[in-house]
Amino acid sequence: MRPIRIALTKGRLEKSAVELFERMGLDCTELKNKGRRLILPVGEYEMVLAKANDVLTYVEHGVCDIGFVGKDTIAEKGGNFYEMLDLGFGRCRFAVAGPDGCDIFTGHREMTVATKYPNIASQYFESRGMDVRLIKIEGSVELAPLLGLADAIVDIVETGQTLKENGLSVIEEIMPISARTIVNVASLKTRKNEIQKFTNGIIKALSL
Amino acid sequence: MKKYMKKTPEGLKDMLYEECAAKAEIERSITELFTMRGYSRAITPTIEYYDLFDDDMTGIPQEQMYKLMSMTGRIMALRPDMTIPIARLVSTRLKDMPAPIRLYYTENIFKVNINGSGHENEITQSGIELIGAKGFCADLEVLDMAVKVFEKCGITDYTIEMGHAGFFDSLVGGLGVDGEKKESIRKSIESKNYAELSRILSGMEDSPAAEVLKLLPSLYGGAEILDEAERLCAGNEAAMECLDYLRELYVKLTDISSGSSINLDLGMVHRNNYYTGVVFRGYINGYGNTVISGGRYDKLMEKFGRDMPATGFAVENNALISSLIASKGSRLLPKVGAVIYAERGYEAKAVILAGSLADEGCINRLCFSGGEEGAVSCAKELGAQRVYIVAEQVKTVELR
Repeated sequence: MRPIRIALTKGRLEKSAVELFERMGLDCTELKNKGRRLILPVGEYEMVLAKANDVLTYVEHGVCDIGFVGKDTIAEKGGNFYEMLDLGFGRCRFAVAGPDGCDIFTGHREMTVATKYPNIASQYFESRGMDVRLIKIEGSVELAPLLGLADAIVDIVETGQTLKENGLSVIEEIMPISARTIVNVASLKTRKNEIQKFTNGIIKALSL
Repeated sequence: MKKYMKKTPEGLKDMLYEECAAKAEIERSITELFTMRGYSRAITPTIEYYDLFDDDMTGIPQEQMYKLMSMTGRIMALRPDMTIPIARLVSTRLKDMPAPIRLYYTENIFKVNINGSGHENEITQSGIELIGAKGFCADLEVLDMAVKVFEKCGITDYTIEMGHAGFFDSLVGGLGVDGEKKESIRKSIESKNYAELSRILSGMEDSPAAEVLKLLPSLYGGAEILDEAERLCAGNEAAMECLDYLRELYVKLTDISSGSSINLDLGMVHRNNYYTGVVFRGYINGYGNTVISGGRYDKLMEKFGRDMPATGFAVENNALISSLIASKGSRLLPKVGAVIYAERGYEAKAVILAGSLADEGCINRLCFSGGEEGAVSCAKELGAQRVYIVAEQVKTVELR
């Protein structure tokens, strides 16, 4: 049987995850000197580097057993897997933001909202009983209200610095975000001991 | 050429050769298993009225169903499930049939997945429904049949896990929370989302049920988790009843299914508005999805006006097919035994020969060009051992 395969989101979460693996006593030499390789041995495991959305896809289909991915991606894309641990790092939040002093909650005019996360935005406005027009934007969402395309945005806010420098501010927070460990539904049951050994290792390392 | 002429629609596919052979073999094995245990086949229409599969009834969201409009303006759906049509059938055509009623099916069901997800939208499911029977022996029969599906299909490396819908209900009932909150508790237990579950249950620390619910996602494994659950639930009579029942089933099923892996997951709370008692799932080691899904659903028949207990399960045949292809590969394909070539004027004689060889059980093919040489090379390619050249006389060439 192949080694337990772990999908790790490239980029923002990578560094904190590597620190976590080292605290768990795993040898991350290969992972740190990966060059252009995409699958790397880490201790007895196989580490796969992938984009956040793909981490969900690989874990859902069972070609990877465990995944490290942000709650933002899980909330937007969804899927069938176990979301077992909140790792506590990669903290930020989803928020609605708009030009300083704007009010999007009153009046009869249809609001236009730009976002990279249409599902999150749609659920949020639905829960507020609002019917808004959503426009999907791929890059710097802050541009949309500045250019007059949208009244507000729904986006990830870390420090709020980008918003501030562009004359925008948070209107309301939607949900907190942090890195999560997800597990394939069948793997948890068919390779229970190996997966529990790994997740227990995480829990122990996090409490140190 | 038209734009969509050469591709199959998203999520749908063609099947050929080994796949078709494996599918036929799996369906043959399953049919034999179900028939020998007294189940009769039911065939229901591929298209039904959408009302039948309404979200309240099935828990299947409407955007996951293929829909079309009938000539009379009614909304129709490609069936997303087989249990509901069988419940409809039992409540109508079989309303005078004495219980228990045992039916099985092998049919395609349909589900609209998001484009690009890689999931299949047309899925062949086989399954049984045991309607009008309650109690231990009925539950054991159905679980045993699930185990036998794996064994009959030559799969040794599988896991069956059991849970109980009543266990969750007995705990959440004591919290005094509304339907919406109950649903969010259920969802976070189902996805083993410990972080979200503790957040929802925070502030209920003085409730013993909330404390057990918090641990529910981790209560999976062997008999030891029943010991732990019993310790946690002392005093909660309804919960203890579920645990006792599960323990007895677990012990008996482990006894009768030698060598297999039977487990428990008390946090199995999927489709909780549908299942009412024992629930179970089956997995094949190394296959990333649930292969068997089933359980007791005592409240469904009542919605069709015939209040009867019921239990059953469905198998995703694709998982069994992949596993069979992985172990047997091209050995699944029928072996051609002979190739026949007809000289001009002797075609009818060749076709008669093809028919009589087939009757004797020799798989054969006619070869249309290239003379004797062409027929021999065709036979070599197919691994056939004999070539017939049909003219006034029939010449037989033996190949090694």
